[in-house]
This record gives sequence, structure tokens and C-alpha cells, in this order.
Amino acid sequence: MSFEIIASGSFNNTSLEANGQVLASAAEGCSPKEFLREVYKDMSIDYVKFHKMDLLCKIGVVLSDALIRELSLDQKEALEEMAVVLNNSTSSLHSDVKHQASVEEGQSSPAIFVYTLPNIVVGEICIKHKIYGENLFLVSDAPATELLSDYAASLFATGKAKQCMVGWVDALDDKWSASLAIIQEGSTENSINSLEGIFSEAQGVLNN
Amino acid sequence: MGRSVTFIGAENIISPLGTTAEENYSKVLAGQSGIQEGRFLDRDGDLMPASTFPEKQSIHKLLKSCIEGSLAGLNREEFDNGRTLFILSSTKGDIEKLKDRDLPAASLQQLADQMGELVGAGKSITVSQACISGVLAMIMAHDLVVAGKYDSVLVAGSDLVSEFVHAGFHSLFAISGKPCRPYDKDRNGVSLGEAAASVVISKNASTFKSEPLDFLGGTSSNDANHISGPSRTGEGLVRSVTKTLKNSGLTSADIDFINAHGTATTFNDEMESIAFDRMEMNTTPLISLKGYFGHTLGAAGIIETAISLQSLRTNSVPVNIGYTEEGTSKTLNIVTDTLEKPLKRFLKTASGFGGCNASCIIQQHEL
Repeated sequence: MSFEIIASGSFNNTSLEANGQVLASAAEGCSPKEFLREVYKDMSIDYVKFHKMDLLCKIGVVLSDALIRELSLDQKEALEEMAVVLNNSTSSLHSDVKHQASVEEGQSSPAIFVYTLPNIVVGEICIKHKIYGENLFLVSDAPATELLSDYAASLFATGKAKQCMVGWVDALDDKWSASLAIIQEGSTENSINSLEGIFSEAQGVLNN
Repeated sequence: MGRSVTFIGAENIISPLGTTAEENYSKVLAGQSGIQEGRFLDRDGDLMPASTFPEKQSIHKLLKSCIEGSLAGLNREEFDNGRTLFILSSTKGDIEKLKDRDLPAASLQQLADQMGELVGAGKSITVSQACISGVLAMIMAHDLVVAGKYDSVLVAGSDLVSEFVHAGFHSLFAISGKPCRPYDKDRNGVSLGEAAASVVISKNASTFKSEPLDFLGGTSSNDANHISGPSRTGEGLVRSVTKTLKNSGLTSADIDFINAHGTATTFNDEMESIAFDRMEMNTTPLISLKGYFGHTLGAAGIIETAISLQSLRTNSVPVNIGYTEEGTSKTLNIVTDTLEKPLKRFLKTASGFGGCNASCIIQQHEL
């Protein structure tokens, strides 16, 4: 079973890349917050809901936008049925800690609580691009490349999806590490190896 | 695509109602609910109903006992062949550790690895997809077994009732002050519940000591609409159920009963009624089991499936406890008297935050 990668990219505290091109890089001394704000502006994302999102969702939305922009018109037409299969190490701990603190203060807020699930980033990406396809969010210490790859291949084999956005989106405090690919059914040999290449720099942000 | 079949069985449930699937099912059939008033003291000093254990639980111990029960239902020489996967289904894992800000201990993967070791699985992973986690974990297990990647997968789910979750739902005005009443006119939100449940999905029927049931797999779909509000049109649920039926080579008329999500919030249950109406499934007997177990989040899909496996095994469907009067804009055929008749198959559905929906079909062995 094989597939081909039609777009890929990464986003961390120092740079945003898509299909091998650097779209943005952090200037020296630039804080993570400032860098994210600059990327949002430079990319002309212009999406009101963005400002309500937690860090995990913002990172996922920026990188998925960058990848989707790389698709051809034909490829974009298939977005409606695209599967979105994501993975990270910290689940939604970034927002969990904030919600826990607000609960302890007796001030819990729905605006934080709704982000205390890791799959919300999948939802935000689906809402922004009108994607009605299969969803899955996995949690593991390091990218579960083999499982992601096997599952994506099974989605193609069973006809559940023709395209799949697959990858790693991890964020905690002011650190993030994301690597995503959009893949489709195809004949590339060694698909897993090529995904491994894409995910090689993705890492869990908890212990780094 | 043609229908793909795996085998599902060795179901186990540990809930305030009992410590085996059979015990839980007999309590459910007898109309007993785990939800009791005054079980959870919230920050406002109000005692809220919930389905909780008398003693505070360790999620590790709870999952361990549950998994051991499922393992006891397996022919271990078949299961322990080195080609097994363990999937944990949980939204919050060991949430108590958050109070100490001990993030590594609160991480889901640490819990999954410990349980995977107990199972003797070659690999373990966590599915964390809000309230559809359990159904989605079983679908993933099915797909990986069909693809030949694993011979057997043990799927176990658990979440505990915590101040964290309670306060969050409370801030959304989604907690009911009385035991929850799925689909009823007077429903007013969820009751939280805690439990663990596990099932095994395998390519071989001989993995199981007692006869398994046939799992036809399932699908998921996003509403692409809102992260915390159900779709007004039921779009994602309609898309998922339509795909699941099609992939199984079945139509809505082939479904004997629906084990639906039914959280008892105004908007969720209304959304489901619209979705099932759109699919012309208004006359199919339908139940939510939330009135017995509360909303057990990451365990919900597995616990509810395990109960309906018992339904297929005993040809009975329990009543939708808490329902007396129609309370959705579209009519549903809510089960109000225990059904006792030969049952072929059921549809399980779930919907959750993030706009996600999932559905799967399970039927009698070798139909």
C-alpha cells in the first residue's frame, strides 16, 4: 500500500516552511508570541476566529493553511472529503493547565474549557476549510509515524478518503513543533520512509 | 468497497453498576442507574448528580482491572502472538496529576504505555478525540486488523469524574441538576459518569473463549461547523452513518436498533433527531445509555458498545432510562419498553466537541 506526498511543511519557534521553502523565520531576539503574530500577518491569514484559539489550534491552522495554499485547483476540490489525522505528545495540556488554574480560582471559562481537548485543532482546520472527512487524533511521546502511515493507507484502501492531512502538532507554554503532510493515494515507493523524513524534526515539546 | 469483517468480543465494564459486562447489563435491563443525586460537590457548593464509585478511583487500577477481565475472555496463546496493539481511549487520563502541575504524569501516553505492557502488546497508542474517542478507537482497530497490520487489538477506555470536567461543562451550562434524561422534553444537560470499559477486536474468532460478534467497522466525519456546538443540520452525523452503511453494503432498514449518543443536552439530542430524520431512521428503535452510566467521555463509546454486544448476545434492548415525553423537533423511536426479539445488528453513533461524529455497525456472528 502506498501513497504520495502532495504537500508538506513544518512550523516551530524559529521558522515556517512549506514544500522546502522558508515562508517565515524568526528574527533574533523575537519572542515566540511576536513570531506567531508576524507569521499570522505575513501569511495574510485574516481569520477572526484565529484570535480566540489556543496555541495548539493556532499552530495547526497556520501550518495547514500554508500546505493547502500549495495545492493545485484540482487537489483543492478534493478537500471536502479529506481526512485529518493528527498526533502530538502533550494532548491539550497547554489549555488544561490554564483551565485547571481557573477552576481553582473558581472562575472557569468556556472560552478556555472548549480547548481542553486535543482534537479541537482538527475541528478548527475542518471548519476553516470546510472539510467533512474522517478525523483522528492520536497521542504518543514521539511521532507515531508507522501507525499514522498505516492508518492513512487504510483510509485510502477502504475508500474512506482520497486525501489525508497527516502529522504532528504539539504546543505547550510558548514552545511548539509541527510537521504536516497532505498525502493522496499514489505509487510512491517507501511511503513510510518519506513520511519519516518529514517527521524527523517533529518532537514532543514537554521535555525539551 | 466491499464489506470487511473482524471479530469483537471479550467485552468488560467496570462501572458503579458492576464489575463485569454481564453484571452491568443485568442492572441496566433491571432499570437500575448508576447516576445518583448529590454525588459531586461543585465549587458553588451544590451537590450534583453523577455516576461515581463510592471511593475515589485510581484510573490506573480501574483500567487494569477492566483489561484483566477482557484478557480472561481470550485464548491467550492466540492473542499473545506478538502481533497485538493496545489502544487507550481517554480524554483526560490521570487528570488528578494536573493539580500538582505534574505534566509528565498527566500525559496520556504514560498511562497507555503502562496498560499496553499489561496487555503484552507490541505497541500502544492513545486515541483522544473527545466524546467519539471510544467509537473511533474501535474503528481504527478494525481498519488496522483488516489491513493486516495487527492480528488483535485490545481497546480500553476510561475517564474519571473530576472537578476539571465538571467545572468546564458547568461553565457551558451543560450539567443537569437532576439525573440526565436523553431525548426527553425536560432534558437539561448531562450527568457525568466514571467507568472503564474494554473490548478486543481480532482477525480470528478463535481468539475468543466465547463466541464473538462480527464487527463491520465504521467511519467518522466532521461537521465543519463549530468546535463546541452541534451542527444544526446533523451534517457530520448524516455523512458518517451514510458512509458506514454504504461501506457495509447495508441500508438503514437493515439496522435493528441504534445505540446513539444522547447526552441529554438540548442541542445534541435535537441534532441527532434531525440527522436520523434526514436518513429516514425515525422508526428504528433507538436508545441512549447515558441515563445509566452518565457521560463517561473517553469510555462512553466502548461501554455503550459493550452493553449492546450484550443486547445481541441476549436478544434484548434495554429502555432509554429518563425518557417519558418527546422532546426533539423530529420524532425518534425511543425504546420505552424492553425489546425482546431476535436481533441481527445495531448501529453505534457518537458525536463530540470539535464537530466530530463517528458510527460503526456490529452484528451477530456469521450472519
